[in-house]
Amino acid sequence: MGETLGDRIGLSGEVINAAASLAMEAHDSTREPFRLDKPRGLSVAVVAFAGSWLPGDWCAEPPFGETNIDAGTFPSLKSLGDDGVALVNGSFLRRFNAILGQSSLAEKVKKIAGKNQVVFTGYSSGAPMAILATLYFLEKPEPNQSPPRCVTFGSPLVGDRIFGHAVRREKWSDHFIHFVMRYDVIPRIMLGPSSTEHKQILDFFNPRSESFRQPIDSSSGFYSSVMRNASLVANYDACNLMGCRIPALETLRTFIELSPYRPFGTYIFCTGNGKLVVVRNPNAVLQILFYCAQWTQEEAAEVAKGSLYEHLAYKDEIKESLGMQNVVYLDRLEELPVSSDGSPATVNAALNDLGLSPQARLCLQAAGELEKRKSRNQDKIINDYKQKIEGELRKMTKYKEKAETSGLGYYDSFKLQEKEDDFLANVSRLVLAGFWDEMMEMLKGHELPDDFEKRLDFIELGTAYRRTVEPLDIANFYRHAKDEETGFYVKKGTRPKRYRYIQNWLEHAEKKPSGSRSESCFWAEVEDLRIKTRSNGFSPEIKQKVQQLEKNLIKWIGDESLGKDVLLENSTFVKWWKGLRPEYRSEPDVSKLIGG
Amino acid sequence: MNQVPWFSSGRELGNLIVASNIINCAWTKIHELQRDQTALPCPVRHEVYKPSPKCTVVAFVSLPDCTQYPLPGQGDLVPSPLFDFLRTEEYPVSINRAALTLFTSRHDHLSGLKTQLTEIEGQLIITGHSLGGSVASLFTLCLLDANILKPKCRPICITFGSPLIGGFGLQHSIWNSFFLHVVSNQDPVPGLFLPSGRSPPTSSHSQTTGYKPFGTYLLCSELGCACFDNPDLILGLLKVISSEVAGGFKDVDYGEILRNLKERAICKGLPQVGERFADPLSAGIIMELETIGFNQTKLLQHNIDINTVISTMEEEARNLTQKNKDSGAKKLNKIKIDMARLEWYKKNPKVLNMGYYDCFKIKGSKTDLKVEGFSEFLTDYWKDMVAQVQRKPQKEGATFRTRWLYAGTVYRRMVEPLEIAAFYGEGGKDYMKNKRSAHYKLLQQWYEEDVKPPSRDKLDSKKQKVSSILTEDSCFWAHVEEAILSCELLKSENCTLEQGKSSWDNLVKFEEYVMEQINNYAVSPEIFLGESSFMKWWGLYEGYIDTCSNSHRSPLISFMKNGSDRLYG
Repeated sequence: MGETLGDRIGLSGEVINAAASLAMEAHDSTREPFRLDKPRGLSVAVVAFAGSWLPGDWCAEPPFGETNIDAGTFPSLKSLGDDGVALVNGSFLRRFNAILGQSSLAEKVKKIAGKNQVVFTGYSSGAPMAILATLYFLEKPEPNQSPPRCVTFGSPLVGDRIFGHAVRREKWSDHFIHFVMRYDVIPRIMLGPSSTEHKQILDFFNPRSESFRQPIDSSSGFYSSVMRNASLVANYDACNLMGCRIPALETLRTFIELSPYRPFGTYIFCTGNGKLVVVRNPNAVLQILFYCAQWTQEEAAEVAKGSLYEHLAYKDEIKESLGMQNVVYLDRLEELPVSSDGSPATVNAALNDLGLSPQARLCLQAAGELEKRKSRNQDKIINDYKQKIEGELRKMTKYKEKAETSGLGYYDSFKLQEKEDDFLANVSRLVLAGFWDEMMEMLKGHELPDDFEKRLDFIELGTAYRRTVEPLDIANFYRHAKDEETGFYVKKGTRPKRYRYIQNWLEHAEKKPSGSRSESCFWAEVEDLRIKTRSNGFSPEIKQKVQQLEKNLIKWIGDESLGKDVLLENSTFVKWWKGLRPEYRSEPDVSKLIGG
Repeated sequence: MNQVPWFSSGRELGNLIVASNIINCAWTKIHELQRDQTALPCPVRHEVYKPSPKCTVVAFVSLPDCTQYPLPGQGDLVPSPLFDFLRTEEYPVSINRAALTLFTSRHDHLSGLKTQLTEIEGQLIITGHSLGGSVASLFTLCLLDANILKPKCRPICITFGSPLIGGFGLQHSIWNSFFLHVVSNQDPVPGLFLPSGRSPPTSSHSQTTGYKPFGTYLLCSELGCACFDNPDLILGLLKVISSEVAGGFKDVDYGEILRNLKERAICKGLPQVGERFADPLSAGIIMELETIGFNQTKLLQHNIDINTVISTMEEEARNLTQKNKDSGAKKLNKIKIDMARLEWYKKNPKVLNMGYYDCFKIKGSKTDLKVEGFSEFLTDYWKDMVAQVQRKPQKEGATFRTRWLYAGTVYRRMVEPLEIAAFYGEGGKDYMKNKRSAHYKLLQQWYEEDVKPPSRDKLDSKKQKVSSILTEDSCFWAHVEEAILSCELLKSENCTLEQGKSSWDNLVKFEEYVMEQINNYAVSPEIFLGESSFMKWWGLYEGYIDTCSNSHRSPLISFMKNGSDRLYG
């Protein structure tokens, strides 16, 4: 017997079965928002959440009900670039926050987590609670505890592309396992806007509704509505995966309302004949969600009915499938067979069991190619750019040292641009900007692996680059008096992306508040205050700014994130500070620094 | 190098379009207008609809007679001054006579419609069926050219079964993306005006007939649909369609076709031959063609070589990737490096007691020759950037250009003086009129649109920094050269009275201009270096005033005589 699914995903069949039972039970509970159980004989604690069939608990604000995730509770769920915080389904988030606020979830989990691996689980709309709970505890790791896991059954989609990107960046993706039955309508429901069809579907499942388990009139209507919306999202994403070269796509985009939600984590599709198909590529999961539920006109009524009943059948189906251990991993997507009789046979059979057409398979290949391209881009950066960057940085460091010995400091020397060294440093500055700007362009275009911004070597290299070279960008900025045309250097749109992003990387890695690592902008603050203190009046606001600058200076010189060159006698800073009106100056320590 | 595989997403885009509401929305309104019995029978008419607050639909329909019994000469391509704006270097403009006649017959109505549309925001769908669609396309082109839509208004033109409207090159224009043409493989009308599909095939169909499709084509069959945007391939396919269904003219019901496609889009596809191909691009293209009813046998029958099609698509994909790479950040930084070199060059010559302008003019040193090399490279780059802006609709062009307008301005201020130097060095006259390149004019115009005049307190800081600035007016030296020429003319013996008067006027104007520049701290102090052309002018001018004991006085004369120039900067 080879490696089992349990070995591969780090959760045994027993745990998954226990989770499935508890998830189904807890879902219908009206008294308690979650249940905590320690299954006998297993070393885990399972926490399962209640669900709801009320339309308002699925989508409160049409069309899609998305909202910004709250950064206080989920500080990591954002893009480190400009795209901002992740979007989540507002109804799910509201319900989770209510559970967190009104129950003893946090304490109970904390108590039990010391001794047991915690597995959060949920079925249907209980699943989003499990997902958010898992993220909540992943955000505040406790020492000596294994991080929580999450297993969902028939979960609706919860977050947008940034949500998934952030989870992958934090390397949390493997903590989430989502089981989905081939035709189950619920995992697809959030790909469309809130509608009467959605209500019909929820009413079918709702024991308190009059239409509970009643056949839905024009049964295929709701299903084709869900599928049509799924096809919009899947086809739009497929066009992008395939690098669509037809320019009409962008024009059309503004005419088509697309759901923001996308899958994330590891998906395990149940084909219906006992086979389990494991997919980790999020783009591929989206394509499969659409394509594996396509129907033929003859089987329409049957499939529509199945799409409801399959949502009720998780417990047994999973027990059976886990017993068979007929598992296929769709990993090297770019090598999948396009034809329905292609090879390798096991993979091909799995694709056939999911009913994936040649068109679907081409989409999966494209999803695989995209990931391959991302890692090729990363390889190029690591194997080529890195060394070149290091080389240029060494030149810069030499330039800095040389300028320091001449007593002026490289900032002021560069600003004067009088010597050939200054000119050469300017060329180096531009060469470096070329490399980093290209990387930033790749990041913005999602052309690098999700965890690139978490790579310690690049955070380190980036920080060294930022501290050494950004002062020269600032010098260049004030040398050309760009402040008069564009305003203060340190603002979005003026300060180059490459520095803002790299600073975000560091602040995120150190879990520091945004803006706290702005030491490389020290000179811009100095220049700005120099202009502001030129006039004769006194302003308390400016005094406060000077004070802040002084405090930062002492802190940054102390932790060596700012070079001592700023303290040289002839530097713009020292000359300005010495000439500053006494009522502005407040830190005697600065005098000591300058004196020493 | 490992080969990166390409994909073709024609079917995905097609399914995206048919599953969305946009196309239904357009067709519904056409259908409504067609059934409207109250209207007078008129060859073409239109109506404006507002199906939702943020969506406006303009629908055009034509009488079926126009295409069922076309008059002789309807298929001719004729020139039209109305559409002269479509002219490119490659293509003259010629428009299909039938469409043009209909369009011109409605010209007055359409002018009113244009004005009406300037008010709207949100989605704007301009649509039409058959020749009505041709008129819709012509109208949309005029609308895009007039550039009168609000920035928040997003237009798209969707035609159903419309004949090709003419021959002009729009492939490189962003306008291409605003046109979507829906064509059924049972509809002969789109290829109606093409010479018979049975005529011997050549490699470049479009040149022999003059018709050239533009925009995206959504071709549909009973089995499904796919999008295409290669004009030659589209032309070939339309020809085949019209030659095959010609004779049996029946009305194609696009409503029914769309309903079927909408169902198809969520249904499992049938097995296809294309899946046998290992390379995803070939597989994709072959399956796309199969989907719209062009299987291998049919293609062969009509002399459409699938391998040529595939390699053309591959070439397109490669070119696009290359182009994206070229316009990236790395290239911009290479440009900046050249600018830095130029700046360094500019700094150097001060020792000779003249600025870089004069240094370059006399071409005294070896570096000057090198400078010529990379300033040429820079000029090519910026000409291309300016051209790209011009090919885009204004709004898009404006956002595109703000990203680099600052760098473009530095370039203009640094490089244009070199061009002026070369021009006058070779004895040229009146640079502004005879020589100045359009890209400089546009760069300057855009810059002036973007920048507000400096306030008083900013002048103070400008004063502080003036020593290191580039002269703001990139044509400053052209004015200096003209002033020198005026002085020389005044002094020469065969100067007529009239010439003397206009030269004197020029000089007075020049004085005022220079004084204003100085007061604004807009000129670099290097103009006052002893050997500079500006000082040469001053010498001539001062001499002239002194010799003819002219009583002329001006702020500039006082400025220069007082030696204030030595205090400037």
